[in-house]
Amino acid sequence: MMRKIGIIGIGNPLRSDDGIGVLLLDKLIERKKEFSQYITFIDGGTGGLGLLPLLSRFTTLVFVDAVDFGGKVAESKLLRFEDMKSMKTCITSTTHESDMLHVLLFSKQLNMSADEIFFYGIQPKDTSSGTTLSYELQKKFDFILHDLIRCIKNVERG
Amino acid sequence: MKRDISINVEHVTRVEGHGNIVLDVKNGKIEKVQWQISEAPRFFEAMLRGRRYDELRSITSRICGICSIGHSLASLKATENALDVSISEQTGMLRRLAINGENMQSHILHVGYLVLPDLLGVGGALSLVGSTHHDALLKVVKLHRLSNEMSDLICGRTTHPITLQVGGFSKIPSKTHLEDLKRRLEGGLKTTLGVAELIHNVADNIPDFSRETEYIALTAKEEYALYEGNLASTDTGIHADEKNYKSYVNEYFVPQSTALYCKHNRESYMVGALARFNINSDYLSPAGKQVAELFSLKSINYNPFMNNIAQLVEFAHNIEDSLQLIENLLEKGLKDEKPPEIAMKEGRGIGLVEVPRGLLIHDYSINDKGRCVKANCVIPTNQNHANIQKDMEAFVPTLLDKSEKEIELNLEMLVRAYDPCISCSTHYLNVEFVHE
Repeated sequence: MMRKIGIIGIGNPLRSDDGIGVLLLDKLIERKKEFSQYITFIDGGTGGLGLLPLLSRFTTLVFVDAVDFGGKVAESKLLRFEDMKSMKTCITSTTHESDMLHVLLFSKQLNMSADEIFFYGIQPKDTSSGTTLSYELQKKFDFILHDLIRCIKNVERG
Repeated sequence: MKRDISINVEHVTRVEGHGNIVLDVKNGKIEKVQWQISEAPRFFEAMLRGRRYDELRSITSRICGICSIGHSLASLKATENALDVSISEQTGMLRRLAINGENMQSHILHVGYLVLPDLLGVGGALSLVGSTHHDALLKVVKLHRLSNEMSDLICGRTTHPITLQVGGFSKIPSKTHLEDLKRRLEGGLKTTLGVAELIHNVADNIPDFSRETEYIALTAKEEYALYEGNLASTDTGIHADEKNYKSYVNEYFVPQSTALYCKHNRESYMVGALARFNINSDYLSPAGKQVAELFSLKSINYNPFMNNIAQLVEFAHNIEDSLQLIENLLEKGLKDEKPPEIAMKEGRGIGLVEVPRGLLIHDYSINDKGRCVKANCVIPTNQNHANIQKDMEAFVPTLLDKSEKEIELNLEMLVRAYDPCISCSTHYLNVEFVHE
């Protein structure tokens, strides 16, 4: 089966650092030509359960989201969905955990999900109302974007 | 039996707000019943101030991940009214398709994943996987997918639309895509009637509770109003002066809530699918009427739990209405319309639309540079809070002979019936009982 990769930015740009997934996605779309035709970029926003039917379109999914994994502010890492489940005690939550982790579990039970699911998580500082990222995330934004692109290319190579 | 009951249902959500249920009964006497909202202020109106007229839609589309199309349309209507921008007939039809798509997305998600498990007596949609209701769940997912892909086609995205613009669309669907959507909607209508039958089979589990209240929705002469219409109340009739909407919604503060409450002719009113049904049921499509008849749903119905049946009725209506809209669009021929010239002027505009949870109002004042100087957004869930509170006060006395677990479930079902804008009501289940 042909590999189809979905990169889904999650979050709300009206809630400061919570929107970093969507802001990074915008930058990825601007650089779309650098990626293969098998990659689709999707702004999932705060769609939550509404995104369920979308998930079966892909063989691999990478969610880009603010994730509170107890790291340093603006630290980022690529996590496998399976690891997130097993790391439940150390991962406090993604800011959309109750949506996306639940939705992903639901989609897996329905056999309507991708074979591989990753989360590219960025440790937020502030998720209160606001249209700008915290200073720390702004400062590291380009670095995070560069790292995200590297991770997506690694995922693409398998 | 005189006993003590203490229920404290706390729900911490991420985006749409926090709602808690508190019930204290001492020696059989109800001491406290509260629907509490601890939603953190989100300052959307402040975020709009100073922004250009053509940025307002994209900002407000982020207010809600489920009603993002509705917020976009209310925003566009308010902006266009402020700047005296007219839209074409084609844009009007495409916007009606967009609002149908969103209503369908939201209603099937709510009825299929969040309410159906209650009616089937299981803990959540996940429990339906592999059960005797697995096929029904797959039908729900199929309808959800259809609704999402319809929104994707018309609005450029499943959620947080991008093709909707001041005065028109940045991109319209092709004839082939619309023909394909039409075929799929025809199939979807059959599936919908099948899902309605299934829900009808368990409809005895819908609580038999009624409380007279006021219902408010848009109404129009020739259509089941979603995109356009005048404010109307089951108590006071039609109210054509939309600029005075504040005298209709009368927002006020209560100590138990950080969200505003609303009242009009009584101490509370309800908006949403049941309100629309109660006011506009004559304009439902044949399939909408068929589903209503299946459940013996007639206007005026005062049972808030029937809001979910009204959502199902609307889902069938939305499909048939969309089929008609597509036929009209294809018959007239799709035109690649240029966006209108927009002259900057000072003005105030109100945008009223019906979104899945009810009446949504955006009110903008724009200066002669095209920048927003004042904004007010009246959200449907806030309009329903007072009615939820009043329903709880009337519902609790009928539940006191039940176990705490049953009382809690019934109260949660009541809240869920309103489909409040809390992204996943099944996560309402963080429950704490405190025994005296």
